Amino acid sequence: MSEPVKDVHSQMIACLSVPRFSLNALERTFRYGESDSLIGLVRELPVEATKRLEVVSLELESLGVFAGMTVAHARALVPDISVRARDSSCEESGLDALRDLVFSCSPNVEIGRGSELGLIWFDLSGLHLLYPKLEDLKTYVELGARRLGFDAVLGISKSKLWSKLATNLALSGGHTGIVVNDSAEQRLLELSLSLLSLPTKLRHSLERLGVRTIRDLLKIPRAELLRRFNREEGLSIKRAVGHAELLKCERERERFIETLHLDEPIWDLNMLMHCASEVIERLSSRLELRGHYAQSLRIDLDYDGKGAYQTLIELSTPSRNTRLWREVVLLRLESNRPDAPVQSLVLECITAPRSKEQLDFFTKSVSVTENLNLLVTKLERHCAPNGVGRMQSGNSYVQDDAFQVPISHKIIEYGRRTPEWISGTPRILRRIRPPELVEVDWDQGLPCFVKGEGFIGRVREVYGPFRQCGEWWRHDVEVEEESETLQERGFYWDLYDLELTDGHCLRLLHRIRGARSFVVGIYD
Amino acid sequence: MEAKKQIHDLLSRSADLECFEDRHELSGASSDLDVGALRKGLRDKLAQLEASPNKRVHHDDAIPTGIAELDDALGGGFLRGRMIELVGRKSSGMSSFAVNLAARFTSMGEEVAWVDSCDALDPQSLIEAHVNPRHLLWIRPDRRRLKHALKAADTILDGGGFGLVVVDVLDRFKRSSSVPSSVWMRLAKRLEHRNTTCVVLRHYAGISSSYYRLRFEGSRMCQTHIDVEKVKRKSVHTPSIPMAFALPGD
Repeated sequence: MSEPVKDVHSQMIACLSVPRFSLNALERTFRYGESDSLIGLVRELPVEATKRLEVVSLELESLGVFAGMTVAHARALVPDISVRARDSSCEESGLDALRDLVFSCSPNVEIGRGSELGLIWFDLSGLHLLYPKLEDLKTYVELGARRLGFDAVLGISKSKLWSKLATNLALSGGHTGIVVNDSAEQRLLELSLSLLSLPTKLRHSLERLGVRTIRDLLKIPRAELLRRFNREEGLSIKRAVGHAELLKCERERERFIETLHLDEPIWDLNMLMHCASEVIERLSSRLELRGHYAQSLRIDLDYDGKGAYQTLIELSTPSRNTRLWREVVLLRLESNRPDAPVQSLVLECITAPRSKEQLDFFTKSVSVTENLNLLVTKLERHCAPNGVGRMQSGNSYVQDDAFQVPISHKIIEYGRRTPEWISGTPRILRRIRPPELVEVDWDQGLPCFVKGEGFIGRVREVYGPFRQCGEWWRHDVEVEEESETLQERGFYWDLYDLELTDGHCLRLLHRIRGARSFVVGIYD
Repeated sequence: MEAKKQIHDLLSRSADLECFEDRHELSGASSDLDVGALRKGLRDKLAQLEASPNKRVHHDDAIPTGIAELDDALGGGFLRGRMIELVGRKSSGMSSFAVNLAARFTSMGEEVAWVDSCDALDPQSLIEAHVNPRHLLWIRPDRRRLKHALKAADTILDGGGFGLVVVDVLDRFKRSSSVPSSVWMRLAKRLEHRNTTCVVLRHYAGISSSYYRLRFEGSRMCQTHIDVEKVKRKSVHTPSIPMAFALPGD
């Protein structure tokens, strides 16, 4: 079931969490054997028995080895454990891939560093137009991350901290990780303050005050709370209660590089291409996410420390076709066979400049609001001046001027309301602009015959007259040409709704001064 | 409907068989067939079909039009990603129907685009029909040119994000049927896999790529009649469905 969005105008932040980011980043770059599923990572080389594991694989966790244990302790529990060091180049490459994924959803992205490595926040404002159900967005992002080699979970809530907590809820199981309505927020409110990364001193102070959960914190008057603590602590409290926080947005980086390290050097090119196929697929997925096509491919081969080979392959047409890429790479390598077995391969895509067609609406790297502005700008090319926009109230006394259409770049306002089912069907008038002068025969003060361009007939039914007058109080409006004296300002009309024998239903405007009749519209 | 047609067909054939039998032109093998029993069985089946309520496929994601009979005929209402052609002469009630549909979409918070090729939309009528103007994008093409209207419609459908797009190509004097069918096909293609319903208002039928065609027959202020035709199957689905209007001054 989709959770209804409470207020789409308010900020919504998604947090993409990759719990074993360093490990996933290493796994997607290095090609290990199957025995290496029991893997743990230490911060840096050399691997010593006293060093503590920072990340451990899921299989190791199931055997009782957890992050924080020393290598010696882990080896005592699982003798087959493979301990490696974190690799900053792999992590940077992995972050690039995840950056491509989240930038395909939102232009406002913050990437966690340091202790927050593996966490990426992005702003979801306006995305409900592309993804009416938040579950769809969640599936899109999580599947995309999986294609790039990461086991990720997406949490959505109203602030950075709460979205991070939502990912924790999703990771613990039994929750979607989407916390956008009251019932879902109730679960977050029960969480302990210890989960909120509050400064220790502040947490102890709050605990002394009897504040143990977020709900307790919300109960205390905000002003009182902020007066008691300093500014830094006040900000921490605001974050804890879900106060909106600005993202420290990053610029987009369009660098498409993937690396493959082989445990065993390979001579055979077909085998090499088989190993590289995963990298090629990932690179193509990244280009697809950003709406790019490769113009050329750069290949770097490392010959097990005995030299290197670099080549650039120009593609005849910009392409994302992985089969084509594999073929051209293989052909190039066959014509220049490696001098030594290949230890690692770096593949880089140089993208083609975006074509005019690609710079179209709703390319996913552009936000929805921007797209709508683009749409209106494009529509204005086909429209009269002021021909596109939404209606705004104007002078309600003059019918044709009752609404004006301004050029507006903020036309669509987001917001969903519960459906109001409308009863009855009012008849709609199609305007004739400008009103058409017609010949009318009158009988006992009512029209009995109408002749105009496109319609002629006896009047079958008359509704009206509906008298209208106005503007007589204004001195700045033009005087009707038929007015007898300059003192008589404003307009005096009789409106009739007519049914003609030829099947037309008209609105007739009869100017009382001057006795001229116009058809202002046809009912349809 | 199809079953009824087949049974009628079989009944007419059985009548032919009887005729042949009377004239002793049937072979011995064929004369073993009990034509009378067959006809009786078919008649029973036909009566059964006619007595049973009209069962139609009901789509959960359809947008109801608000006219119960019409919704029933359309399988719950208008489907998203489809093009609907509204056909009728002047004052037949097409625009009223489209505006009421727009009111439904805007009341659900969805965006509606109205391509007004002949600059005929009356804002006051829209308000009276409960259309939320904040959710309506009104597009009036330059010099009322049909070409610009169709380009604008194409742009909007390509952009997406709208629940309903109304393409009003009714013209007071010219025939809108002069639009090549490839244009409509292109628009229908644009709609595929989108959450948008497109309604085209025309005086003459002829959009073969539309999903449903609704023919409006009426010339009275208070009422019109709608015939529903499923274009792809070339079959009229319903008898005329009445649609009542509020009279002026009500």
